Amino acid sequence: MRRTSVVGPLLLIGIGALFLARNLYPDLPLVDYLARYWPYLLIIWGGLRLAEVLVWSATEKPLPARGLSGGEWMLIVLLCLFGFTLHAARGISDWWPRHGIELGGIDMFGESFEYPISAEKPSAKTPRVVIENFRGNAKIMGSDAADMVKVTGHNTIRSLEQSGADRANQEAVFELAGDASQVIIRTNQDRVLGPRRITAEMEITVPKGATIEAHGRNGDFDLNDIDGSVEIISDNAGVRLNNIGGEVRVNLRRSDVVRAVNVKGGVELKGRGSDVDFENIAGQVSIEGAYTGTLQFQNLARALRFTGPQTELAIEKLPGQVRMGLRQFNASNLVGPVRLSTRSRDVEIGDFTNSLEISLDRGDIDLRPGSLPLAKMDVHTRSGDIQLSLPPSAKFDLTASSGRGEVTNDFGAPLKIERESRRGATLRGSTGGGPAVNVQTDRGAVTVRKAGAEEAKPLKKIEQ
Amino acid sequence: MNGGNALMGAIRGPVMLILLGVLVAMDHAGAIGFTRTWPVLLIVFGVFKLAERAGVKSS
Repeated sequence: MRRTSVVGPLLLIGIGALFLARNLYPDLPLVDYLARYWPYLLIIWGGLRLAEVLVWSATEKPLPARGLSGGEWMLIVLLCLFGFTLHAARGISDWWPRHGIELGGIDMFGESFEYPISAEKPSAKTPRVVIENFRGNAKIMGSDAADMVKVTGHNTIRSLEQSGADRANQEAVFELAGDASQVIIRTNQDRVLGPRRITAEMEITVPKGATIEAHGRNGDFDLNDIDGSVEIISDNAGVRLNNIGGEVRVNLRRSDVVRAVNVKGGVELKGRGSDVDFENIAGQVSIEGAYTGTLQFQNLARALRFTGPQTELAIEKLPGQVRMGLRQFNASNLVGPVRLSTRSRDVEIGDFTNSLEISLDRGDIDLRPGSLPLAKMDVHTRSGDIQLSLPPSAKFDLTASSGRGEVTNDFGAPLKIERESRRGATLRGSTGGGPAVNVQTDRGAVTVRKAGAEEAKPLKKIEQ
Repeated sequence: MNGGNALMGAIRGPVMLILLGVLVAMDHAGAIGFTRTWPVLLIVFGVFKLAERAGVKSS
């Protein structure tokens, strides 16, 4: 009997599972996961073959001459090429050696050396502060009293020995260039060649009226109390903004969190990342890109526009809040017109005005318009249940239908169920002169009921 | 000791593969670059070859 490995079938199962996950959770960043975690496939593969060989050996079966066949090595080489390319293309790291492959100097067991940074430069009351491309973290604070740009902090240099670190520190001269109206913060990290890596940890104090333009490669930005506009461009950064007077523009290739609180201008965010959290924004908010964590918005005085790979959201004004995860969308107190279209999410919205438009591929919808007059609604899901709770005194002209599923009328009187086909039904009715309310699911149950769960509870108590 | 020698030959591939995976995973996690660690693969391969030679001699 010819022994066959379990790796082949498992590989098939794995690929199938990946594609299935992609179809079920379209917003899941599988390509990012693959780019980051593909080496573990090699480890699992090797582990399985090793286990097999050991089991064969223990059961005294004849062993193959080689643990991995030539064909398998070919596959592995292909996988490596694919993986490295994906990893580089996703911008997760620059794997291509910039300083040549190190043959001699094995710099792997280096130490960290720290050198203090300190510089200051007098400036105008409303200077433009430019931070040139650097690696490390920056904390920027606006101060009422300051009439200069002041930087303190330290450089961290990884090197095998003190002398190498010293040399690197001398090469990367920290300087404040420019003049009083434009101050340039320059770390000169690029001057250091070879394997030594410098990261800067900076605390920057600027006049409150300053305008900030920062370029980073890898590290966090933390900005507080700036009256001017802020622009941040980075390959990989967490960004936290607090009390910003001007416009905010953030462009990141990767981020773990983008947080903005109390911004008087608009906020424009582009790129890729995880969590986004905006609160008390006076200007317009526009977000474009793929965000895989939780997006939270609260108290936006003007319009919110979100454009993701599979999701689009537009809200005219947001006195309440929105919370959007990978699988769900919860919102309350929205000013319309509100438009949401997404592939796969469970949607729950309470209190909205003007008009609401929802289009889903898959997901349940739960709508509780509390305030009157009722908003015009146009709601459609291809697969999922819809629940609609209408205030008893609301005026509307309702059409609620299911292509395949139950339609339940808990609202009562003016609404009537019409059975059009064997599998589906439509609930129609008007309370006279209200906005059009259309809810429709291709497959799933539809329930329309009177709002006011609070009223139902005391009734139950009386029954007891 | 032919059995031990055959086992050595059979586990060489899988062990090398696991090692490769670990080095690349370390690279992607940002711990230490693959461009620095790749010689480890040569070293381990050499150790395996030595072990096989030792196995042949003792048998």
